Amino acid sequence: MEVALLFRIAAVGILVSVLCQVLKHSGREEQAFLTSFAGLLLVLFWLVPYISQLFETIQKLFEF
Amino acid sequence: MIRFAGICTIAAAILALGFWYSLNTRKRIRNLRLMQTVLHMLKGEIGFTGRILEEAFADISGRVQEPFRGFFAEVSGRLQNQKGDGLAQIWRESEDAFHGSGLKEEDLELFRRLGNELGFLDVDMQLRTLELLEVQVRENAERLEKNCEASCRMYQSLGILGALTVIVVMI
Amino acid sequence: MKEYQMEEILHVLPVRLREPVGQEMRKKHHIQEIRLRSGKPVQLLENGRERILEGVGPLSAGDMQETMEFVSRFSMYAYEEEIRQGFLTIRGGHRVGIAGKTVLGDGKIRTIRNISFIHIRIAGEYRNCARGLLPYLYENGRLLSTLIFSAPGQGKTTMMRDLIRLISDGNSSGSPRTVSVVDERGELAACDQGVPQNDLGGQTDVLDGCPKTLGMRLMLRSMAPSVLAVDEIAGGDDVEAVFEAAGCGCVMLATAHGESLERLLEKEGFGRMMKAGVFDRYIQLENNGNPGRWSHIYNGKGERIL
Repeated sequence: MEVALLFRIAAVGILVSVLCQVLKHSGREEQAFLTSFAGLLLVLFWLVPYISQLFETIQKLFEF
Repeated sequence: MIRFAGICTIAAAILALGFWYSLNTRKRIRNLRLMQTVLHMLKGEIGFTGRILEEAFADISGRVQEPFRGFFAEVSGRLQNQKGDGLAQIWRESEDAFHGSGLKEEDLELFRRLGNELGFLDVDMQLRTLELLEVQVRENAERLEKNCEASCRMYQSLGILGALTVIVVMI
Repeated sequence: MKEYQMEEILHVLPVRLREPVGQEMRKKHHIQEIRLRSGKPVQLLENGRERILEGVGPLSAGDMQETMEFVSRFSMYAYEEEIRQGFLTIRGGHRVGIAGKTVLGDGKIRTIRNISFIHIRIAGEYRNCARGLLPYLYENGRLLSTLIFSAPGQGKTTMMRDLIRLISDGNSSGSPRTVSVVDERGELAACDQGVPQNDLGGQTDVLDGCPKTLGMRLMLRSMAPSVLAVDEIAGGDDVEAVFEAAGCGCVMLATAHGESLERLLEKEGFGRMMKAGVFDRYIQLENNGNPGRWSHIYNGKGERIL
């Protein structure tokens, strides 16, 4: 795993939370929710290969 | 290199979009105020001088700023031509003048009602219709003005944050 | 009829009628009137004979409404007063009469709605049609007060218009005079935005759309006319105003409805005017489709002189 990815996820997290605050502040709850949801999906998307890697590793562990 | 340029372009576009939106909001308020002025003028033209619409429109187009200047000049010109088109139709077809005026569909809808209801009825009814529309336009403008600063700031910060997000995601 | 005059009339007709009626008019037929009735075909009056315009079918209520929109140039409210009176004048001086369902209020006509009868009277401008009349209107170089009368549609207004032009510009019988016209119905001058569409001569001032009684007083005060011209006086207040103007030393030119001098004098006020000698000439028109013909000329005492 690269460190860059961690930083990226952190940056997205910060930006999304600020966006969320701005939108919430101007009374657009709906858009705020959608933005945070999109952020979550984005990060999950990035993590999918690593999760699958994790599963494979575990599988290998039990194959012995 | 190309990747970097692409990211920059997209980020700049999102930034510009934010500023454009905030500018549009200001423009919309300005034009709503103008619309209010126009309605007020029409009230004067119809109620006091009792002039026919094409003259009233020509007069108004000489006294207000764009986009209403162009709009009323066109409507007045087409009415003078007497090609047989109805006022409502001419009104709708001249609405192209409001492209890029920041006015939203709901504002134009209000304005279109004017085109549908002008011309008939007696002076009293005309004045009452104009009065009603004026109140509605004023309320809209006031409501927008109240949130104007907040929403302008919001559009701008949304633009900036959006641009940053895109950069982070794409790097 | 010139092309631009024709346009003025065609422009108030529903779009589907413009072509067929235009064709009729271009055939050099002398069309004087167009009648539109809801549910009936178009009727034309040419050379004094009524006939149906073929090939357009009966008119619908929509056609009538379209016509009214064009006639009022989409500004019905601006013609409230005219509609109450039952007619309005369009560009070019043509008169449009209307009838339909009247709405009453306080015993007066408030407005007419569901207009389903429209009558367009085409104003003719016949230059010099009054020239033959001039020698009878002057006495020792002095212009005489004149009343022109006839049955409807015999060309009173046309005659009057040309008379005003000839007097205002000067003619073989007299020098140019300052003429003030009080044009209540907008038929004499046919003003568009205050500018006369018809040629009324170079020394003519026009007060457009003002009731005759008010207008005559106003013009006497403001324009110092030597000749005062009005269209269609009809007894009552009009007569009082004419008395007043004549008392100021103005030469009066006026028209009135009346089939004969006897019938005219039966009307309220006219007998009194004759006794007081307000008018020096009474001219009866009878043109039968030929503008500029008169049948009788009477002097101020009602004696026939021609």
